[in-house]
Amino acid sequence: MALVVVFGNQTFAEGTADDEVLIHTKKMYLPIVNSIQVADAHPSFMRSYYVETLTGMYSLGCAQGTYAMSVGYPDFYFMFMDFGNPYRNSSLVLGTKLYDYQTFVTTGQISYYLTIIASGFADCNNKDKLFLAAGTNTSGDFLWSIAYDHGYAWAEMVYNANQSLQSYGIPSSRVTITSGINAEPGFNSFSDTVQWFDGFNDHPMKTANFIIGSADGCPDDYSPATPPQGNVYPAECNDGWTQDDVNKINNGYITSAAIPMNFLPNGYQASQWYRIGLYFHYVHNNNIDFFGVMTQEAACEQREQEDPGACYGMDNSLYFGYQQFRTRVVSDSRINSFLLWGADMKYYRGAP
Amino acid sequence: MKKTTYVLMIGIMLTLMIGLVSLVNAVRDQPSNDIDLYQNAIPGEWDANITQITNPAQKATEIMRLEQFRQAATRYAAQALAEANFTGTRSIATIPTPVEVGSPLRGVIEDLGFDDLRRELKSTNGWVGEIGGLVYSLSAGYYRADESLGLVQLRIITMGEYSRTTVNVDCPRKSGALRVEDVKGSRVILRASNGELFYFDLLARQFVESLDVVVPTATPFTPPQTEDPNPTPTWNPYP
Repeated sequence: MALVVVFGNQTFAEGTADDEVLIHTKKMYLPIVNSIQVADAHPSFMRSYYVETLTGMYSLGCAQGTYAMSVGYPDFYFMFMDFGNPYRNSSLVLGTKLYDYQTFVTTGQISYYLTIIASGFADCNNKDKLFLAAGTNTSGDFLWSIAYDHGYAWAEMVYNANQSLQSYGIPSSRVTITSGINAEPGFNSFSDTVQWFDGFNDHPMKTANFIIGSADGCPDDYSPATPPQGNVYPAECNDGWTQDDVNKINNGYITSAAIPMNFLPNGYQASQWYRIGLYFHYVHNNNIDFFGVMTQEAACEQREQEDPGACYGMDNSLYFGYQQFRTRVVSDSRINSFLLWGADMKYYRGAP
Repeated sequence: MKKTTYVLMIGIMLTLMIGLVSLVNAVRDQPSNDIDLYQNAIPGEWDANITQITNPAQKATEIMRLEQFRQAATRYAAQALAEANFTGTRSIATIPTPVEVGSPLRGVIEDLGFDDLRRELKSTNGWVGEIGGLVYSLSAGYYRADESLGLVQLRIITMGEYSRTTVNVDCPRKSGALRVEDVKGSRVILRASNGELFYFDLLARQFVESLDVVVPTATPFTPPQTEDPNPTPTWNPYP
């Protein structure tokens, strides 16, 4: 794997065959090259999943690859596979609890299934590239006891999974496995959440880490759109978090790449992210980066079938949610946003 | 200044300038992997977005950025992204399967979690067990907006071909957060944060008055219709 590192406006290349290009702009390692920081005029959309079962993963990858093939031009795609809460079993093995609420999977087993998904995608697609994010979240009352170790183990797992892809002949030009994490103020305290991120970023072979984040309780009307006179202070959000804390999780680490949640059709979440983007600009004299937008339209449809109202008010559609974010957030030039991807969550129950 | 020194200085300056120009050209000519963005830009869509901008300064900035994008597209349009000779044949049989693929959680489990798309619930603990060939996974906890209101969430899971049915049941009284203490047969014993005991029948899917009262079971469980494991992808988010 070759590394192209960009500092500011300069590019330094170490070229080899089958390069994978990482860009370091300001403070982040990004798996995408775009030296012109503008909104993607042609985003790609793909389903992401809350994993309930481990069956049919190869077919899932193939279905995703087949769908991407049906789009008439080469593109980069993003898929977040959320394997559930961080967990450590009685034998002190780290992994997650799946969304069937009855199965524990180790990081080693997750690595295997990531390889299977990647294999399916690569076998059914010859023109696109998939960024497959191995996902977990920051919830759980016992996160504090395992967070650092779990974050470190997660980075190790992703590294091993990419090594496996290479050994099985799946080049990085087809599939790259990254990390992904659903981080929300309502899940846990900022200090406990930071432990996971510290552990992940302390790993020497860490990859990009896509943050599916929320800004629970953060205001939709502060920081002001008109540049303020004097200092700008972070507003308080829920559960002891501040806007600065949300920024640190979503943008503060060198690996972090934000894909904010935009679940609310009324635009409130988009407005929260807009204000966080402004705050970031005023305080850091820098622009925030949003790589895409996440909704949960399909998951809502599944739950509403058995429990009407289970998703009321949180069921923004994929396409509308993406456009809404683009209009409310990245239309402001002070907020630097690629918005490469629209992603929508669905429960994975054995079929795409 | 001596003539030789002058000439030497001119030479050094020229060398530096040539080197700088070369470096700039090398940087500018560095190929980008962002080819698909350049090749597949839809300027019309971007132009349409620009017309929506009312702030003159923002509009001018966006117009400039679009022009930069167009120029870059022209520069890199010739470079292909996909592999030219990809055959796409790999056998997953060569990928070793783990000895164990997921291990079941059984008994009382701390912080089992809720299926909570609205982010309105908080979990304390739960219980997972098997009854009549089905897996019953029950989480206990409370509503974030009203900690006095406890609830349970019951998930019934089929063991063969996977399916899950989920139902939330509120505690009949506002006694605080619920926690699973024990399970006797199909009866779950829960203690609220105010000390009160409640009993939930897994088969009836409801709270009952005591550990012993007999209640009819719920409508026999019918797994949802199985989704086609290999559907033809038809989903297209583009209008």
